[in-house]
Amino acid sequence: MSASGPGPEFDHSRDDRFMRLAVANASTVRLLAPPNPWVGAVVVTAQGDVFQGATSAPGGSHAEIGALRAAGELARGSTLYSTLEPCSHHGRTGPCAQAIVDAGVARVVVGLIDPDPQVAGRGIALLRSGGLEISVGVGAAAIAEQLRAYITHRTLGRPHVVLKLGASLDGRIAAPDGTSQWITGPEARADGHRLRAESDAVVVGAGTVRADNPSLTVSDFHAAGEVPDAGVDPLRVVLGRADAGARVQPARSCSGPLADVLAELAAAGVVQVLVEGGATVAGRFHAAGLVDEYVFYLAPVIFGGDDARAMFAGAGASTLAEVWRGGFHSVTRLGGDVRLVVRPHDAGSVRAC
Amino acid sequence: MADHDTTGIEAKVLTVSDGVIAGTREDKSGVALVTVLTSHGVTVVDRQVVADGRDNVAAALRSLAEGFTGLIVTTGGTGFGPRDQTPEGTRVVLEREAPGLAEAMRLVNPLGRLSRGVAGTVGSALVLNTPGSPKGAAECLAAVIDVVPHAVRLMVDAPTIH
Repeated sequence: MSASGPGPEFDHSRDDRFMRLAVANASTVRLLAPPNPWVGAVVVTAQGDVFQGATSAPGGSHAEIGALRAAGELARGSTLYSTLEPCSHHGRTGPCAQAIVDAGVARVVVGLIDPDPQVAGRGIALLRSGGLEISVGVGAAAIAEQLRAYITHRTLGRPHVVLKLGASLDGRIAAPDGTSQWITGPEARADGHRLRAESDAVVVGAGTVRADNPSLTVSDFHAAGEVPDAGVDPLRVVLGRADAGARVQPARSCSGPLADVLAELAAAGVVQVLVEGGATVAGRFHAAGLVDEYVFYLAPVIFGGDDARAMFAGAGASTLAEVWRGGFHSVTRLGGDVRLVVRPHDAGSVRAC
Repeated sequence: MADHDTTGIEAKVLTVSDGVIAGTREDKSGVALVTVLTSHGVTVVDRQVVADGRDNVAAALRSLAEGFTGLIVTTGGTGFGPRDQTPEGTRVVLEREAPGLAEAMRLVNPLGRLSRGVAGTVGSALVLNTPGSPKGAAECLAAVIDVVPHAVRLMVDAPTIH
């Protein structure tokens, strides 16, 4: 997948090593970069010194610029690694590809071509016209996984949709009397808060707001006395109307077809939404085929009957030939519970507990 | 003091900081640790950021250590503030403590006495707590990095009973 032939001193293991570091740098800015992609960069100088960069909060510098600034004059003749293609357009910041050329970088190693239609290969073309040596595709699989939500947002024009369900072993999310707090343990709930923090919006049904009155904040990520300002708390979206006094407020009320709601959120810069339920909302997203990732937290709890609330409301498949089939992406133990991550049409491997 | 013995060793860096999670602070100490590691030829294979707190730190360390052979360095949360609970979270997962490494890191400068950081092993990973300042984190790691390869090798080579 290399765009230009590897140079004479091309060293696969060396490129892999530094791209892995760039991926690690990117993972530190997962929560603050959106709606921009969470990108990592590394500059390796001719002397072997290594400088780091990662995307700043919106309006700040991109990863490549951060690494170039850290390297200063030493960037001349260096190799720059970037998990995503350097941008070629004037957004809130100038084009990174031009800055890389201007800094005198000799070689650029890129993980993924940017799927954003504003870039889509133009960054690479700009670098090449500047006479730089280019390699593309190093670490591409890991980076596509890391940037999965961003890729969905830029290629489908809607947010990446994650559906979260905490349930008993027999697939029930609430008792017949409506009680549901808590079926799963603290570790699973903390992991749910991580999902919220990674999401730019949380979607919940008006029925759940009435029944559970959730705040849908990221309590585990809040520090005493520290006010998060980089979107750690997601935008809260209620399908239907929520009471003015509900804990979910301030929230955005949405109605109409889900596709329209999602398109509206995508345009507002929502890269990933977390659908938190309840069963009616889960059933609507599932039936519409709009879920990119299902995250099930299953507790070793059994309601033992058919009168407790099922995960999905409404009519399901009426015959086996019509059931939805997906693939396990991962299976993880969390405290006393199990987390199953399931994706549509995914033959991906299962990582053991 | 580039020690060629450190090449081939892999490392992960965990930044413990409410401010970095909230986006109000840059992860300069994480970068400082990466710089020390790469300048010693150590390959940094993962970096994570978590909010302060015992449970956050314990969960992050557990997942970083799973199936990993090498060094895990934390930065932040070793002081006396109410949210400084990195040593407590680290102790939750440590199987064996390595007080010699923790004390050697404390001796690098007078402020080291204010660090409550611990060190020890989880499976075949060696965990080191360093302070939250970029300078303090880099100095503490530099104080012990020469013995890290030997420690990691012993964890893998020593006969163990499972």
